[in-house]
Amino acid sequence: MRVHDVLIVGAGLAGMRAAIAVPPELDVAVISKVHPVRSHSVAAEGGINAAIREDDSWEAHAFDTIKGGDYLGDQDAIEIMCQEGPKDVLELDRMGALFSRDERGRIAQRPFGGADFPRTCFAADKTGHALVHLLYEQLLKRKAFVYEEWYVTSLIVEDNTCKGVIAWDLITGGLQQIRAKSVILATGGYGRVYSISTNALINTGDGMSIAYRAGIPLMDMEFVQFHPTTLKETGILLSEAARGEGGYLLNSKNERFMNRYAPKKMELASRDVVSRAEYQEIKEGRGINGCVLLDIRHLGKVKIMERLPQIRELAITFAGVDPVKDPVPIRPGVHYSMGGIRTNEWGETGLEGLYAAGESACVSIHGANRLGGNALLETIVFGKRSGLKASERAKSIRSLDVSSKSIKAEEDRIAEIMNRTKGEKVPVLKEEIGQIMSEGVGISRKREGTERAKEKVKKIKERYRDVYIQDKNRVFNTELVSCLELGSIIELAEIIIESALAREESRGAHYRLDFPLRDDTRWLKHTLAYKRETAPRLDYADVRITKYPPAERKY
Amino acid sequence: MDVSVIIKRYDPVKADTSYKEEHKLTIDEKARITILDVLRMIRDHKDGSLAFRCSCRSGICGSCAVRVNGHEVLACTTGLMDSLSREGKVVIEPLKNLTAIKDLVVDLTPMWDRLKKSDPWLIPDHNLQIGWDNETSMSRSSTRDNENNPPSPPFNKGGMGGFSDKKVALLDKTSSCILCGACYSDCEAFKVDPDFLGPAVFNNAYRFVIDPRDSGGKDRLKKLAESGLWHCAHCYLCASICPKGINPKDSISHLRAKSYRMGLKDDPGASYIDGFYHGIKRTGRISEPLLAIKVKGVGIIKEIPFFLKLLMRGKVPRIRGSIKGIKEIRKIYKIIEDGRRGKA
Repeated sequence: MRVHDVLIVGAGLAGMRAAIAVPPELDVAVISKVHPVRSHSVAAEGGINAAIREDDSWEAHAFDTIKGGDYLGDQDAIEIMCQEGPKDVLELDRMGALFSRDERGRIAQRPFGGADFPRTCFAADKTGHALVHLLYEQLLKRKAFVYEEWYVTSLIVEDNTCKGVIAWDLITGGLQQIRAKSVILATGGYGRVYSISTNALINTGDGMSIAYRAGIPLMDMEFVQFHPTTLKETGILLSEAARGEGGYLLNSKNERFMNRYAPKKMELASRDVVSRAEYQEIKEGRGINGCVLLDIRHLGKVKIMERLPQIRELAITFAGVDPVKDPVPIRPGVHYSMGGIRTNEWGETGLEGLYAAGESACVSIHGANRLGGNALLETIVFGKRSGLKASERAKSIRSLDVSSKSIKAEEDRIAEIMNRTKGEKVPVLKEEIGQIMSEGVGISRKREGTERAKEKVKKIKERYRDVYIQDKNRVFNTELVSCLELGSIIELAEIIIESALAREESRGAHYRLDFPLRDDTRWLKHTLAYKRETAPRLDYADVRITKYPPAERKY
Repeated sequence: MDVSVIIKRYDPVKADTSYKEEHKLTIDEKARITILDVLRMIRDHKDGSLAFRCSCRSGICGSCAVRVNGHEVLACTTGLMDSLSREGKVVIEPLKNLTAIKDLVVDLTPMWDRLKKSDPWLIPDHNLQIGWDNETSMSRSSTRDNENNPPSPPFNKGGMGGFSDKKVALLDKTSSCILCGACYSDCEAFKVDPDFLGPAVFNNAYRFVIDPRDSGGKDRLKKLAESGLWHCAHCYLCASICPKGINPKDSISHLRAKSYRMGLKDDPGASYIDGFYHGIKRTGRISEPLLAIKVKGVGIIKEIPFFLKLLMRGKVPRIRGSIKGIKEIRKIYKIIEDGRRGKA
């Protein structure tokens, strides 16, 4: 029997930052379905925001974040992040992060979308890589125990308290109960609910799904961020850094079309605005094979090689275009989930013993649209805070009393799946649901289309009960894991659809063709989705406003 | 076009031997299909039991390192068309030097264990004040405690404790490792020294050695020197296959040079370099017997029978005096040594 003081599910930036915040006298473990350095945080490119300059201020950062989120973010939480951000970022630097430097030797900062100050710190265009490897080093230094390649199937909840997790060990192929005084979910986003996404193949939203099944509400799930610059066939991300460093967006007429949509900020308006502008250009016939162009040629080879080397590599490898010589065809693609497990500013979920941080959580920082560079900051600030809070709780608990009931239920569930002898295959359903979501709850939404998606997802859910696993061996059975992941995907798809149908307004990333305006009187509130057998039950919560009253958003 | 994909399969449950399995596929040769795409096609539509790792599918997470036609690559950044033989065949196998768990999935524990052994974290130099810029990096209106959180040391170009442009570029390069394990698979040094840390881990260690914020110094180097640093055979395989274009072999050479200069010469490898260096300086020649003594130390006694055999067959070179141009040689040494002192 394994027992830990603090157990963290997910080993990306939020999870690892939480782990190293746990004081040395406590026993901390991290559990993840992939090795920590394989976590998707490693693919973050552009940077991390922090007001570290004399002529910047955390208040300015907070305002940009609130405005970027179309006033749906909770302002008290945003203030915390922007205030603690500079200290936390400098802490990373002292741990050994290799941030890029300016000519004076200071941490360099670049302009990013929706920000009135160039406050995005970066390590070339590989910031996520730099930070994931840094925190993994710190995790080793901290001697945290890591369950590598374990898939968490559910939470152990007894006496209204989370007491650990049930997890499947991929390598040996078996279920285990892993008990813990505090559990932190830091499992990232659900990009793979959609057919084409910038996200890694592992981003299936499992943490959100298991929290939801344990009765915790998922908040603001209708807000799905489309990143403006992704490659057409693969959805691979070309960082906002390309525009931050001065890149242009062009349509088929060679116009910098952003001057029609955001004359002041142009290419550096918030992501929802830029993505919608691209969508509009393509829809109105000014696209090129379903894309617009990202042009960075004028930056010159030297700057591209120094500041955007990965973007160049990606464009060459995956689109066959060298951005030094030619503009790259790009289009908006699913990128980030503003919504997630509802938490307060300490990562507390409302279920005793359970915390959440990072993309899987919704504090809410990003409101209806996240600013580039704020995701990494959220993982660091709130990863740390949840680690501290979870440790406090763990210290106060003497012993854990856990029954073995929960593991039996999971064993039965997996045995039932493994024993099926015929049926449809998991990838077929996965592909279908991805398509349904892209069409029905994409960059623009309308009641009829979303209703149709709802009906289709309902049918997929029925078919899912009979999917068939060809691989009957337990050792490294990726088919089984993929089947369990599909369960998460279907669940989240239902919630996204239900939340999107209900919100009859347009705000941030949620754009309704049938309700094109923001409606603060009716909809300045968070959506909460609760688990019910048939369909999610929706409820609403107030947005916490401190000193920035909602105003019209213009870039 | 029709292609033939041959995958080395291994199922730990069914049998304890691996086998090759051929899949015939029809693909659109104009589409940019990668090796990873092919593996996913086969798994998703033909055989759900095929096991391989993958995640980011954009060459940054390091999950999908495999061997294609005998060479280590990332499956996700390697094009299928570029990998086909003239007959339209491609062979996909798991990494070498590691135990297979199932099919293309290998147990990377030996690499992670070696990484842990190398203390792969910055040991901050708390005394480093030089080059700190007090007006850096703190914003005006915040409640933070500036005393407890001094601003970070900048990389001052040319300044003491800082970085030159060249060093920043070197740090960029060495730190871009994704720990995919490709070089671990390729490395021949494990055959000589099972405890050899391996190309990636040495490269990663070098990243800290050159970081001016690090105070690991001689202790860090000593640990590395004792972990097989001198056992790399300089075969350059790691540098030639690294999917991120890193040159771990160069990092190993730099580590050797640094440790040698710090006086860490206990290793036979270091002694050999030492003997070589001083031998040439003294006489202009390589004296093999003297080198042997230098490297083997007292243990040379055991080699006496071998030495006698060599002697009987006339294979022991005579010990000769200095060459004619020894003065010229010493001049070269002086120029190099002065140059280095000047740089330091």
